[in-house]
Amino acid sequence: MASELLTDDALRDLHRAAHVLPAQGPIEVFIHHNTLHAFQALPFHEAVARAEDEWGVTGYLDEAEYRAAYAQGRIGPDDLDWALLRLAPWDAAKDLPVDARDLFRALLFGTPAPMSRDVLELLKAEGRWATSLDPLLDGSVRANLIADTTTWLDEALRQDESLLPFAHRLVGPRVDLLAEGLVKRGASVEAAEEEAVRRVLAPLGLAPERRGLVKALGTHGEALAAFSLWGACVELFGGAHALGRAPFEPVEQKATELVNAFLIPLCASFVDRGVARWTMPGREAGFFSAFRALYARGGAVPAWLDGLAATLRASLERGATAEDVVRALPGPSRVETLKALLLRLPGWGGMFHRLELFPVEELPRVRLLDFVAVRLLLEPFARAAAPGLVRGVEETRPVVVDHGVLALYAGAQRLGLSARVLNTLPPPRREALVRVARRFDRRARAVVWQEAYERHHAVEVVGALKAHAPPAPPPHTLQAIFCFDDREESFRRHLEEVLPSVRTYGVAGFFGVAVEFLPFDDVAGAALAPLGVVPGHRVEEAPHPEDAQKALARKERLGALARWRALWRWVTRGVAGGGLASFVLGPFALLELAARVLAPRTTRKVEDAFRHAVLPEVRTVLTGERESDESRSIDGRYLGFSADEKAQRVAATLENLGLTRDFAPLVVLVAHGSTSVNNPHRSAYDCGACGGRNGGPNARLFARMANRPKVREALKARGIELPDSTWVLGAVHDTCTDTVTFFDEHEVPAAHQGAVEEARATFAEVCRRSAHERCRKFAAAPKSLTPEAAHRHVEARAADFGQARPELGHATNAVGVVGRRALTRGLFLDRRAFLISYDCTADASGAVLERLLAAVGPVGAGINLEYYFSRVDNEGLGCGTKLPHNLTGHVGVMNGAASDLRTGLPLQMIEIHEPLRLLLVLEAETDVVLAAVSRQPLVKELALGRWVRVVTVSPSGRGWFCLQPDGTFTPWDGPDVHLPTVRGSRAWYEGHEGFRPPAQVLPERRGAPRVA
Amino acid sequence: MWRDLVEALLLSSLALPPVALSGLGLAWLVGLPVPEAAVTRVSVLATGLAAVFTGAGAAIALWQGLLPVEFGPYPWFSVGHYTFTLSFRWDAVSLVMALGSTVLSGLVVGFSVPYLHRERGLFRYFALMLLFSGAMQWLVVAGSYEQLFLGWELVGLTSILLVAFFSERAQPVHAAVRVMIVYRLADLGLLIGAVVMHQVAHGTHFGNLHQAHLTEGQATAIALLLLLAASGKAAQLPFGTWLPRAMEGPTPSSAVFYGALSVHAGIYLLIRSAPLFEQSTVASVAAVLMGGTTAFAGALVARVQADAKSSLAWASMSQLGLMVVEVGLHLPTVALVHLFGHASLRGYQMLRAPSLLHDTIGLRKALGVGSLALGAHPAPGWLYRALRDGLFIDVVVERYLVRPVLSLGGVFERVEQAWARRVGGELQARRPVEPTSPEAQEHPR
Amino acid sequence: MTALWGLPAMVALPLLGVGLVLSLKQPRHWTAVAAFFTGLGTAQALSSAVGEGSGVSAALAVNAAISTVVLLGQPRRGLTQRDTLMPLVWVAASAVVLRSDDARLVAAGWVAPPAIVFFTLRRLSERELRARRVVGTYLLLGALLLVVAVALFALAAAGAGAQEPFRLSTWRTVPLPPHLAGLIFLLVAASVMARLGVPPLHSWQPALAEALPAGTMLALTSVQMSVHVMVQLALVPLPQAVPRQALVVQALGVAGVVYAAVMAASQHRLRRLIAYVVVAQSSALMVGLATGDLVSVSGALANAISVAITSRGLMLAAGTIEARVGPVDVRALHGLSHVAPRLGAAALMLAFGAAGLPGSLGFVGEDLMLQGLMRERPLVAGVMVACTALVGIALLRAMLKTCFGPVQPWAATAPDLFPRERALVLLAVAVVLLGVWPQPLVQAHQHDVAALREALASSEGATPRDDGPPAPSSADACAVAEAARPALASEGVALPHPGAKPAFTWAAHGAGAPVADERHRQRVGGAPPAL
Repeated sequence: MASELLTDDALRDLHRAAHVLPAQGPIEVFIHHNTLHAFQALPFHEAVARAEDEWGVTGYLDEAEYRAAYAQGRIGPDDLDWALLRLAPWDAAKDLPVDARDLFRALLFGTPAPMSRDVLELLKAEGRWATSLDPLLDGSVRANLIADTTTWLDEALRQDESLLPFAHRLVGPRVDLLAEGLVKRGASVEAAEEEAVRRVLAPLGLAPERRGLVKALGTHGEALAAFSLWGACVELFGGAHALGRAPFEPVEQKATELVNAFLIPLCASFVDRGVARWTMPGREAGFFSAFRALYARGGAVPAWLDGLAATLRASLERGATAEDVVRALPGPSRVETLKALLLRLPGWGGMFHRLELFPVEELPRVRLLDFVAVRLLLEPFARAAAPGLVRGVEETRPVVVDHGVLALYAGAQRLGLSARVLNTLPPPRREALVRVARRFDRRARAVVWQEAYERHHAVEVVGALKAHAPPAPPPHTLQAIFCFDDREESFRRHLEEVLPSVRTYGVAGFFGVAVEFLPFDDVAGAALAPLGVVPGHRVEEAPHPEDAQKALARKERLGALARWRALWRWVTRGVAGGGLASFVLGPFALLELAARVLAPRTTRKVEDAFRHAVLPEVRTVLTGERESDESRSIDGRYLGFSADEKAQRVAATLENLGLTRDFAPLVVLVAHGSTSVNNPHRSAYDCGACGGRNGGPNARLFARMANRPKVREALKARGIELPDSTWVLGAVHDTCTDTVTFFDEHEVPAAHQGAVEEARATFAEVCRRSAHERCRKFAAAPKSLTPEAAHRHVEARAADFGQARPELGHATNAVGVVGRRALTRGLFLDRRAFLISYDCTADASGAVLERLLAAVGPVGAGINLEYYFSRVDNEGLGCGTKLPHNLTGHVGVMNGAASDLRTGLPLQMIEIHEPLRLLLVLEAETDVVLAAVSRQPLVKELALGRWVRVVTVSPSGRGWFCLQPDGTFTPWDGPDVHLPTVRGSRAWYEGHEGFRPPAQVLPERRGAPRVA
Repeated sequence: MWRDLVEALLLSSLALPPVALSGLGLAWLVGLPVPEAAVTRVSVLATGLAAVFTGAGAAIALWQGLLPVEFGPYPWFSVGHYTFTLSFRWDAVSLVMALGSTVLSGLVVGFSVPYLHRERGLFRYFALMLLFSGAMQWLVVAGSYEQLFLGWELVGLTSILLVAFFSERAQPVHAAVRVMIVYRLADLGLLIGAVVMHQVAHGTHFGNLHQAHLTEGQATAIALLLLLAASGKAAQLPFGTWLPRAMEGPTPSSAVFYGALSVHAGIYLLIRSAPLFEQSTVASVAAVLMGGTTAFAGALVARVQADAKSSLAWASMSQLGLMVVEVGLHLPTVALVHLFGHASLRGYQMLRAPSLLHDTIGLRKALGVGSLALGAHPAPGWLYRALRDGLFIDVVVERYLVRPVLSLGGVFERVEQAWARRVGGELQARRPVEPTSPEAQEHPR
Repeated sequence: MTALWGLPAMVALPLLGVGLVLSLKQPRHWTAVAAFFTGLGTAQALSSAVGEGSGVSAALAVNAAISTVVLLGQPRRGLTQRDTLMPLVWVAASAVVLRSDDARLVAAGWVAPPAIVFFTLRRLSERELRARRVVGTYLLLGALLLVVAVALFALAAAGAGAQEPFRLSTWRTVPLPPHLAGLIFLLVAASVMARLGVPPLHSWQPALAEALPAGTMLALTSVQMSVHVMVQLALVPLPQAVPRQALVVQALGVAGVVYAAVMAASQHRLRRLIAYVVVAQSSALMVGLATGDLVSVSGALANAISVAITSRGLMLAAGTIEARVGPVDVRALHGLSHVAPRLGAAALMLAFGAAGLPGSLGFVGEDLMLQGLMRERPLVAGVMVACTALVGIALLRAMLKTCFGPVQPWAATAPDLFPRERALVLLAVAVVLLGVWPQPLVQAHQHDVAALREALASSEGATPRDDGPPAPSSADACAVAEAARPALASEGVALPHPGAKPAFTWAAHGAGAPVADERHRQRVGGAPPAL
């Protein structure tokens, strides 16, 4: 595509338009990325605004949710003031009759959700809008409002014979219009006036009769105050102009619907990677050709597509290509046209785009161009047919009320502005009110709320980090290196509680070993490296020579099983096979179903036992000891690592960690992965730093490398003393079942056996505790579980194929800390923090920091932002509830039988997430940070565009600083917080379901009761 | 005494789901809080106990050799000499079906508890599942066609509402409407068939079918009407194209309706009506033809489906076709065994549809990348086209059936509007153009 | 007691309410007062329905209950005093029509509601002016046909020397010349058809459905009254007219069902659609009534209650929905259930009831009508069932699309049912309750059906088809057979469904009933079963 781009401006336009498409790849390697990647060059709030406008999505929570967060104390009044001061439209606040800050606050809290006129009129007629004041109103404000209004209305009642002035004060000149209209209709002036007043008063349930009204001033004071205030607000906004037409495009919608319904199955068939047994004929030639060949041959088509065959035949005769079709679009508006076109089916378009950029083996020629061309061919037919199908629907187009009126009405009440006040204000002040109500619209308010939300979080976390002063731990006996994944935060904390003499480290979960790995049980390898890193090395898992026989048997049986299952899948869908299977195997299916529903964990155990019995366990080794640079494998990758390369990788990781001396006798590298059933998004639970896969092989590989004497020698040369008394052990942590498996135990020297055994016992206990802490966030988990029961519970979750939430993934992630563990050790961070080890004292140049930020920044921000956007608009930016998801073509999921491909995260993964941008705390001097950030364009974009919030803490005690969008640092201005101290994490979280603020956790005193 | 016990067990198993449903439903309607735990526990308890009671009843009935047994009649309503009585029949056929349906419903409800956890429509889902399991059980143990019709319709109703479950999107609603239309039209067959049988055979009890001395013409007419009904429910061509569209609901409901139970109700009806088919060659041939066509066409269309659920739907249709053939060949017992096996198998497969990716990754590991498409190959263009477009059935129906009726309605409508204008002028409620015009103030609804 | 709570009370209570409402100045009290009086009326009618087991009282109770629900539930916006008064007037009028034995009163009660509506429609509003023309053309003129019929009958009765020519209960003894009987029959039928909205006299239904508020509209539709008038003023006094003229009525009814089905299927606007659904149901009622089969008539009577509840319920629901989301187009999706789940549930339940799904009263009514009709005219029955299914499809489609689908952003804040509007839920629940347990209701109508049977029996002396009254013993035989059933069944002896005994009908009773008896006697006696 790149070369074509230069020559063809149609293609260039398409390439430009394709920015609107989601960049999610085939679902089996789900990698978190910034959902708004297309706008990442812009600052966060501008990017959100663009996305909201162009994609029709929402980039912030509902105001109601922000208010709920405020009510729960997740946002404080100070935070709100802080955000208002910085982000409210102060420039619009000139000439206001009230204090601007009060008005902003009133609008933030009072503004109701948008309403149509139908709803508004309904609520009015029901006495639920404009006939009663806000029930939360302060007592004195309410009394003043009522008194002020009734006096004013009383005046009107007493002054005049007619009731018209009275009605005028209630609703403004609209009553006159009404009366005039009735006169035109042939009524007498008196009758018209009375009728007009009657209609005005109807929502109040009052009759147009002076005596009753005078009485009503006393009895209906509140209703009259509210009613007249509403009338005054509507008048402020220009009466009739306060109402507008909602955007409503039935023809457009219908046309899109027609094309989508037709196109989706075709797309699915085209990119199918093996669900269908019969593939689309001619798809090697591309979607456009295949489509044309299929539909040029005539045959029945839906009525709206009459003439399609002829058009296609003509196109075939002309020899037109997909390029021609796109080129035929008028040039100037082409990008916009294409964008609009792509946004009608962004999921599928995105998949075509992605498969074009990163082709997969089974699908040779996927081009976005073809997809667009087919759509362009179909579009005119739909456009011609749609108007006839929806004729008359436009009559249902609703009238909506200017949101500013609603906001002002609510705000005025809170500020105690009565109708009298509003009606008697001089024009500039009235205009100022309207101006502020308009400018401080939903988006502006949401920005304030969001910033306040994040401010609260930052104060909580930075305050805790500032106040945290962990006691020095005892001399180390074990070092454990984890992925920086937020899910390992609790694991590390519990490990340190169980074994205070441990030192834990966090690093990207591929441990610096980017590798194309071929597992023994697999016939194809996969890249275990962060997105964008192309591994230059390949490593294979081979059976241990002693197990060669067993390995052969295992391979054979695995293959046979798989072939049988593949066959089974086809066979059960056939006539005879399906029949036979029903007769023979149906009852067993029922039994299996019953077992899996009634006892998932036991069934899983039985299943595993069966697998063990059938498939012999094989010890494996990793091949790829390479001595020279010559032996490249066929696909251009080196097979294995040379000693130097190994040392380089080991050294780099250890340096990143700041772990270059003082090694404990045992160093455990704990990678992570997640196992569950019934989960199309399961790779989203695996290690993001390993390309959405299980990181176990990387840990294993790293350990094997580090244990090589040759490597250790090479390390010594680089100043890393890895003594012989230290053994490095690889392990993998299953974050779903909370189990830890050690690799290559058979190679552990006898001297270290004891340490490994001890570590095993420790990890087992930690697993139980971690499971226990996790369970508090599962709404369906029993509230009082012992750690053992909790562990059983999480195991059952993983094995239950009806379980839509095997684990909660990265939900609630919000913090990244790059620095020494001393900063965070013993701090309860509630599984919300990415913890990256970095020793700034050994990195004067900032080179390590730069490396870390380049690797960790995008991964952490990607995870965080994907969760953020999937949370704030789960339908628009996430993929909605997973219940109707239907795996399609092995590339993605649809909702039901035919929908757009759904991208983003499902509801089940994000429902407890707090959408906060990542708070990245860096332990480094500001100038080092600035230098590191500005050298990495991606990190710069994220940091200066405020996609992540960067706070630094000076290792030399200069204090805490915030990075500003202009690249400067300002001192941290948050208040100090009190940091509670507890013994043992459990004492702090137990009995709480929601978020827990940070606390200082001291190791439990053995035998002593826990102190709450 | 054993008979009374079995009767009590059967009646309780019938009553449990509706009682649970009315309790939950009333609580909700009057605005009481109905927490998730209450809904799921009540549902699991009701469906689970129904399965246990059915099982116990079945065991006792078999042990005591009570089969076939008929409970009732219980009069429902009567006018003059006409009485609608209810009776419940337990014989080998309904025993198998009752066990299968209660156990599967119970299991799927159990499956749904974690699956539906915290879902917005959780209450609606479990309410509908309760209604469904009650209706299905009713359908299965009903003693007569008229009574079966009650359960039949309610099964259809819950099916429609569950297809529309995720109604915040348009697609499920359109699919639900489609299912509803086919169901209602096909159900005419059962309704008319039952009434005709009532008239000609003076009763519609299954127990009397063998003795009903119908002429071959009568038997043919009734059997064909019932075949129509069954072909709607059991998704036989040309009516069956609703089935793949119906895969819009939550996975467990798709499994229990379109994999396991609801679609098999059609087959059950035919098995029940086997004596009629034995009397009528025409109807038998019709069944064989329709079922055979569906069996082969369904399997072929299944081969080109690129998504997990559609592929299963067409495959189900194919097996259902085979069962219709078996009934047409006068092998109801074979059909019954087939039905039971297929319901279990397909229900399980559908429940596992979300795990397909896991399975596939397993396959891929063992057999290589290409294995995803193991054995897949292109089909001839013309065949592929026909299969991809569902054999053009929907298009043809739309063009030659729906549109003519609607355009006839359009003509009538224009005439009527013209007449209305003549009498009283335009009386339509339109939104006023100028929202604050005086006219807008009155806008009676 | 009965005297105190009889007709005068039933009329006086609502009229008292009318007076009170008129005297109240402040609009906010109107609804409460009116609903209080209709509520009282409901209780009173219910108590007498339970006490006497009379279908008339049951019908009255249903009417009063519907009025209460409409009063409470109708959207408040743009409501006038008339809309609160009309349900009261209607309850009073229906009490007169249903309870009175004086043909003059019946005619007055029949004419009053449309007349009052006609005269209170305001000239100030363009819309009401148009509605007025429609009401005048169809309903007022249609109602007057009954006045003519009553006058003719009374003249004839007086001519025949009747003491009280306006006494309804004596009419069936009045000998009438066949052509006059036919004329009167057709006049009554035409008046009823205009009121029910049976094509070709139906146009007011769709036209007014969108133009008038629920309260006023209520006064114009009178399913129960219509059915009652048809039975008491045409079928019972003029059985001799039934065979020929009834055929005309029946043919019109069938044509009406077909026409309404096609119209309903092609409607785009919810209210018009519901109007055509009502037209179809009304036409079906006429077919059932005109069949003259006792089972069918019972079905029609039960169905009339179902239609009364569902038609008003659906209209009210439509109003309640449109008050929230604006005019509803059937082709668009409105997603109502998300914002107003209870409203959605009630609307759907009512639609299911109207479509005659099992578990609703509609099913019971339709089953009974069908059983009678199928015996008489299988083809007509088939057409009717098919068209009813089509109507049901159109209605359910509309309701599914209204209740489900994406929530439109502008309707996202629409509130669910307000407490007073929950009355609508009562109608929905009533449809289901009566559908599950219909016997009391069906039983309540036995009086009317018995009257009809008597009328036929007495008139049959004049017809050559007479074979004597139906043997009461058949019921006993039935009971015996039922009692014997389990025993017989366990011996493998099959019994027919009890419904197998053909009910008494004009066409069949001559031959059918005795044969059925015969068969029973044989079976009970242990003779081999013959089916």
